[in-house]
Amino acid sequence: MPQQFQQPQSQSADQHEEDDQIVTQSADQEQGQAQDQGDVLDSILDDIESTLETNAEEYVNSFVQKGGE
Amino acid sequence: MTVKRVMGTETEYAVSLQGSGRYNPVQLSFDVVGAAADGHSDTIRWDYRQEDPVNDARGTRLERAAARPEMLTDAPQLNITNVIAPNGGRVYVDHAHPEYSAPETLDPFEAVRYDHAGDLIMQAAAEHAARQTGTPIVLHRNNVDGKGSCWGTHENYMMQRSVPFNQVARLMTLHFVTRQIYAGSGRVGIGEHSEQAGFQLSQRADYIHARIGLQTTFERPIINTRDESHSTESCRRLHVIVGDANRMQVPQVLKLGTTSMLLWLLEHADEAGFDMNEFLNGLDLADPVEAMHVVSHDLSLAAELPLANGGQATAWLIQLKLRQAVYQVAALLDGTDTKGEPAWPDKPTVSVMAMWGQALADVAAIRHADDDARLGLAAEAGRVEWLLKWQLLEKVRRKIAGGSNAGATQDTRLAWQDSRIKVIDLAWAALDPRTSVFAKLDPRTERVERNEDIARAADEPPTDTRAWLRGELVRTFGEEVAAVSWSRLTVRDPRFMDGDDSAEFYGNASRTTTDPARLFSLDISDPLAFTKSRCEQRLRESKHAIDLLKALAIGKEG
Repeated sequence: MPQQFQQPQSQSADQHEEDDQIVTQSADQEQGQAQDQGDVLDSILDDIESTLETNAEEYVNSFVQKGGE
Repeated sequence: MTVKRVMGTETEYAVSLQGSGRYNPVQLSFDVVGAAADGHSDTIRWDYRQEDPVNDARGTRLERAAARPEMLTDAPQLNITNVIAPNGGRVYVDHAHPEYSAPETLDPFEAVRYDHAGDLIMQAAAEHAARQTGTPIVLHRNNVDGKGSCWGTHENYMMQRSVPFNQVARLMTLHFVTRQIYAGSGRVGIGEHSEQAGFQLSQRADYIHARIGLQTTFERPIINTRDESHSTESCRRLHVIVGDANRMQVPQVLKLGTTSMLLWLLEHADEAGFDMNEFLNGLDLADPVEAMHVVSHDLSLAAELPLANGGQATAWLIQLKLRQAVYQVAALLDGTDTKGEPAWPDKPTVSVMAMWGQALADVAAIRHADDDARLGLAAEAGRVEWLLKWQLLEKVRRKIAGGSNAGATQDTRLAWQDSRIKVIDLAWAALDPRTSVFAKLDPRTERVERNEDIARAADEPPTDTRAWLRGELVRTFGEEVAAVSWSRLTVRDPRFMDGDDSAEFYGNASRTTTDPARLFSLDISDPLAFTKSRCEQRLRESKHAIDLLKALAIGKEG
């Protein structure tokens, strides 16, 4: 079984532990768990603030599609 | 009792010109798909002769004259563009959307890897098309424009035809209605035209209006009955049209993995003495279409859905019972280990069953948290896409509503219609990582596939299905390949190739103008018969495409 098939093991009580499962969460995310989720979201919102203020209306209104499938 | 089976995804992307309301999405789709082709593969046609869009899984056929024109996908316009991707997948124009169909894969993790590889292929094509046309063509991976239009994200599963379709429809209806609680990607707006302000779990729910049917573009059904197996006679392909386009990997693995496990349950219930009809009699929903909408709109996660037997159950409880049934049959058939866990045969199955349990634990945690507490759920938001999107939007909504955290009053609810909210929902889905809101949060989400493996999957076909032969045939002998489909490969005899005959190979393969004697076709209906291990040696020994296919044809008979 290639490594990439392995994924984070769950933490819920009704799961049994698999010793050989590998947690593949990124370092960034490990940090995120310790960091307050509200701060994380705020910093993202600061980052995209200019998008929100300047052309939100135009971006949303100009997005018109036809149905698919 | 494995999660492994032949499966794959289809993703329709939204295509638009950044900042302009005046564009023709059909033309833009052709621009993008055309830009996905290279000089090596752009003369290969898609072979529509194996398509059968009017065959119904319930055992009937729709008269072609009674079908809407858009249902007749085997009679495309002459200018349709198809590109065989280097990984064995297909890039093409479907109505007004560029679409990527991933190559056939064998388990949910591989399927997610190849699905996301499609994002790379399509983003590169869009950038190429933008340079070629000098226009800012952009793609979004979502399903709605908030103005009435909806497009699809489909899953395909190969399954045993011996399971009565009625049972497939009943069990899958329960699953598709309720899996939204952990698989939804979140949507701003309620109703097909976002008539009401608000946020809901799923992109697709409001566009589902029928329990079951052949159609996919109007009166969309929960269960799609298109019966076109692209495989051998013992199998059918379950074509699932209710799912959302997810950006996060965990909900996508869950969607594919839990559905595959439940198909396994259907295939093995009799063998285990599990009474499927009795199980379904206890859970059938009174009104599945209404339930689909209720579950998506219910951010409390507590709505009781009326059952056909007069009882009621939440979506969460139904999911719990579905998962328990898989456990029960697996334990009956294969026994359990010392911890009482069924003896799952492989890592993907162990992982999917654990992730399913985690998903239900996550939903329970969300359900028992009020809005303030929900904003602080970090681990759950790394796995549940609609929650992560809601957190970001709820922060903005509170700012717009003047700091009020009460979600119930009419004024604060109206803030969901603010364009600053809508733009985040839309930019979440932007495929270009430079403009995508999701891309900024992506590093904080749980991953099951590494970026380098996804990048490789854009160029290399899966090794364990027939997609390997399709991808390698095109890579090695592109100029000699005349037509390709999921289940058939047709190549030209190089002795009769006379320079520039590409024009005649453009368009509909069923009206080929080439002398059939100059072509050779190989039936690759069995998805597992043309893998790397079975074809690689012959590929190396073949000077021409026709040598390879003839050698494989002889090998098949022998």
